[in-house]
Amino acid sequence: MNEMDLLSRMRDEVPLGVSPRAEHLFRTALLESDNPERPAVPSRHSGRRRARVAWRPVLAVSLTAAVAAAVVVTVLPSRGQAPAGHQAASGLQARGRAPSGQPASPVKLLADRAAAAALSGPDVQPGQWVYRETELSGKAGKSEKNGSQELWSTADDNTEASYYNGKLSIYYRGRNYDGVQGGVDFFPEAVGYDSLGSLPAQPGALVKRLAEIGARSNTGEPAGCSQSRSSCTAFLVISELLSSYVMPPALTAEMYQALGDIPGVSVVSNVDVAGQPCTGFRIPLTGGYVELIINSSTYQYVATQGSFPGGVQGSIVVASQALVSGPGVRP
Amino acid sequence: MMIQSRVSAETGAADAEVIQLSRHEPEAFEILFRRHAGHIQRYVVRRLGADAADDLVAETFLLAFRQRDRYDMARADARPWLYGIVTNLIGSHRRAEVRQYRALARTGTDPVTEPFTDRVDAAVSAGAANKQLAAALAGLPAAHRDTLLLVAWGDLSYEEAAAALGVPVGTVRSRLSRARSRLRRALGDADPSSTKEENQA
Repeated sequence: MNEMDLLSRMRDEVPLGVSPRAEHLFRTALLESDNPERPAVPSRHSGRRRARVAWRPVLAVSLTAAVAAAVVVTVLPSRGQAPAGHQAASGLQARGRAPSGQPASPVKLLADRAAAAALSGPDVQPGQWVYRETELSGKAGKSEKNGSQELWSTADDNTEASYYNGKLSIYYRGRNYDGVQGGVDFFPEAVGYDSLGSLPAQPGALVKRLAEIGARSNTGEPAGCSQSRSSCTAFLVISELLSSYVMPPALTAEMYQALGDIPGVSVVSNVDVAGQPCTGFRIPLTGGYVELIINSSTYQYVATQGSFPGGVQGSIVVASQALVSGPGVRP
Repeated sequence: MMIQSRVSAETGAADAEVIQLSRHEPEAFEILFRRHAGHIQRYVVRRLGADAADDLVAETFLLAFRQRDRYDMARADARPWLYGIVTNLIGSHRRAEVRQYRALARTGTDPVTEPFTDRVDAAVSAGAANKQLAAALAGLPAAHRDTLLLVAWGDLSYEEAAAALGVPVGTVRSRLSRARSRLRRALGDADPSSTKEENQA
């Protein structure tokens, strides 16, 4: 054994890994610094939200002992089964849309049907825990990856949990790692659950408001947005809300109807996602697109998928979703 | 957006691609943190101890984030860049670092590893070799110590260490040669037939 081998072994017991405090300091410094770069280039909150999942294990506190609770409280309607209220979809009279004598456009028709189906969804409290298993399929250049992830979050998405190295970790939005209040998210919250109740009811105004929320929160628009900035931003905000929150049924319905009012959005039909027939809403990009996919029968949100400039394409599918009694509890 | 970021992260896009993405989508920088922060933290802890490490790791990535527009996209691997930043930051803690090497050389107890070992282990873990190595490290010129430890503890190649330090690779070889000689002397020339340097050359 030479001197380099001996040196390599010196202090080898120091473990690999970043401490929660180091991460907290980094995030806090980033947020609190006068960093002109951060708002200079609009970020996309959806990426922040999903990327953050991987951070939570590092940030979080293990609550392993706390999750021996009872199991599922309610199971959300499964994809292969239409919700009870779905039959009312065809009879839904959307708010002042589709004047008599004029056929509704395909996108408005789909929006109305999805909205009607959403109205039959379960009403949940903001603190209700939701289990999601998502499947990611992605390709970036020559690299390909498929995988799944389990995530628990409250309906308002203020608290999230996931397993990391066999331990359940909890991430509290808007708090640092030891529970002290303060913004420590990588970027400011894009859409607060609390603000959802004050959204305007009229679809056009709702789209405008969602775009404002996205713009104010650095949500921005996807690279290569070929529509107006507000159209892209509103589409992404809705995608974020549908994929990360469990909203009150009426609000979910409004989101779908808003999709039908975003300029540039079209319908994609006969899409097979994870073996189920789907349809969806698409917003085009220059050299790509983003699609919000829903089940053709139940009109429930299924996935977000897209193809982007630079050879990146992929999908995130909600393989399973259910209301549960707490973090770590599987349906 | 979420798919673009996640796919890039999950499919193992090169660091340079992630940095490129982060210029337009700042949150993508999280991917870089996730990939490298643990290794950077371990490196800093080994050099300075756990107390100073958190601040330095945070500062390293904050500086990197701010400087990402200047990153050389020809360098796919960001490790040399990150290790270069953290090495500069460690420089301002040089006295503390040397003080801990001297403490280890003098007492045989390593203040850096104490938090990671139990009391009994800590008392006996630093053998004679570690004491001698610590004495040698304390006596090295800072630039030589930086170079040596980037290779030994940062797992950088000579070329990567050169990039991290902003010096020619020949300078890295020269510094390493001198530092290793110093270590060998401290160890009593126990094994003068080292071939690691030649193997990496």
